[in-house]
Amino acid sequence: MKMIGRIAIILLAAAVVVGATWALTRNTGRGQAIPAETQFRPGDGFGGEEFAPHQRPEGWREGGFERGRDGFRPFGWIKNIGLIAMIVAVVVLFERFLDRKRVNHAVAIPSDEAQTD
Amino acid sequence: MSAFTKTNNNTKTKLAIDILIFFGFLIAMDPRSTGVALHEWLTVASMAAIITHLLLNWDWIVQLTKRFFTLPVLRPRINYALNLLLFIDLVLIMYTGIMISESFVPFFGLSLPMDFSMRRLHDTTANIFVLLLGLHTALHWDWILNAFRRYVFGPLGRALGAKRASQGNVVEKQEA
Repeated sequence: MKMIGRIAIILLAAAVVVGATWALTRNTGRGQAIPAETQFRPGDGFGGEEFAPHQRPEGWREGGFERGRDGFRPFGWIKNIGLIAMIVAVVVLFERFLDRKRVNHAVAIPSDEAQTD
Repeated sequence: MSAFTKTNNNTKTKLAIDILIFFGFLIAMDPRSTGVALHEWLTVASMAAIITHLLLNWDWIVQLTKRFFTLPVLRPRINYALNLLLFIDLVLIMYTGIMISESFVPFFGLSLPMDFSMRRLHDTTANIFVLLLGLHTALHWDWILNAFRRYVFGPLGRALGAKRASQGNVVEKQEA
């Protein structure tokens, strides 16, 4: 029962985010579907493509968007893992640097006090 | 079951699920290598893993939510804010992904109107997700290292050591 309540809270939080996004995209005019009658269709006189060349949205390729279509790239995830590794390295090294600085500072304060005494 | 054993089992489960989520997302994040269908189904399936991850860390979430403004240390607050952003970003990825779905939604006999802003939002949130995942991993790096040492490298080292020892015994017996 407790578990179901927690899952419900998580789903509710997700619903709030989705609702806010939906409201935001609706109010700003984004997120509105293109009316069917104004959509370009294959064979509409634009070389069999669904969009006129000057109206192609970003990421559009012949036959659809670029999702998994414009060439098989078997190890593309290595780029992401490299990026994550880089971020981890930078943050961890920065934290270690800050920790060392803090320790050095803590050691330096008593010795300074001893000198002034 | 003692509290120590329970904590150990909990850490093991957390580590296993985190590894699963991390590599699941790494694979799912690249539709060019998986294809759109696997990209969509894997991401939807990973929702269950994400919910499990949140449930396993529920106590931490509740405690930090209650004490967020009174905490004297900055790090847990940054961590909490980052996790909140990660959650929002993940929900946005899922939502926009469903809105531009080419495999998951049509599987249920539904069709959604074409929406380019959703497509752009999906790309943007996915790029932000890699960045947030990197920061999330970095902030939990010590925990990850300790858990790996205890539950992966430790047992692996002991197993290899035992194997070497048994091989050494066999050689000694043969020499004798």
